[in-house]
Amino acid sequence: MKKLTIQDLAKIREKTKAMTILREGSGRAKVTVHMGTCGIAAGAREIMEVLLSEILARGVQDVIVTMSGCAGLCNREPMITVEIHDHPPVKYVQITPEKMKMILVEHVLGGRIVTAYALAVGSETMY
Amino acid sequence: MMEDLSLHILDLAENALNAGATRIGIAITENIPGDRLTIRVSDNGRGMSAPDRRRALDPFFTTQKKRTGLGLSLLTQAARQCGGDVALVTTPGRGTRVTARFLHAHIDRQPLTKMAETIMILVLGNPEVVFRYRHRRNDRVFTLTSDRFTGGRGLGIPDHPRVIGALQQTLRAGLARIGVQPNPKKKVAGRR
Repeated sequence: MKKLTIQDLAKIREKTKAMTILREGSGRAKVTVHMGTCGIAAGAREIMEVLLSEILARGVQDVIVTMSGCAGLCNREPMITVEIHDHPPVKYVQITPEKMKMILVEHVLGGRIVTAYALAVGSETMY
Repeated sequence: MMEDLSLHILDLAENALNAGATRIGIAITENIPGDRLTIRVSDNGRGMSAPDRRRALDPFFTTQKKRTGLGLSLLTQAARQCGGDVALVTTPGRGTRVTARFLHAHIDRQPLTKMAETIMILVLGNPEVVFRYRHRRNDRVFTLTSDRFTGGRGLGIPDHPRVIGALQQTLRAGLARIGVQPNPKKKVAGRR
């Protein structure tokens, strides 16, 4: 195995810092848009655009928006994961701009899982 | 199949992020009189070994468990179908540079479209990474460095909507100035 350098450690520190923002309480929720090649081809960019424009329009200040690679279910893309502090993460599949707006209002801001679009609850832990 | 070239750029940047890059350069050069369009995405990620480099453009080749391995091969196909090519230079431990060249006026060339949105998503989705975006269209150039907006901070910062607004405005105005995207302000005024 290759030896870790100071630069490697700095990169790991930055990445971990970003991942732990939610746990440390500086964000109400984290929304991850999965942007592997499959997600991008299926329309994940449009989902991210809608999410950012809604956050801008509503003046939401405590939601962390991030992106990640393929979640492993290419035929169910675009996918997002919503994590609320102290609750298990929820994966939503085949997201459309309308679904994204509803999930933002109901789940991210309102705390109520939109079960009609959810694939799984607690399938992975990111915080 | 990607609908436009900015989606390929998003995919290349996602590859770079997946390789642990902390600095990503996106350079687009449109030389319309010379009929050339060049897209270059470079990063300081972990790079590739020589065997991986040889297979990197092959369909379905990936070193990751959950990835499709189609991104680079789709880009190669998109470039070749309109008289271009893709070059990949990589050094293990130092980073990778992907350069895609196209004939600008080729009838099969996909449009760039939505560059402002693509850069905005990359910057806001990865505030700990420094993105340097440079877009040259003939003799006009627009450049943007992301840490001017994010300062390397994580999202969830109190002025998040303000950062989104400032970045959006800078990108749209800058790209409109060099003639890449129409000025959205004019469009909105027209609709109203």
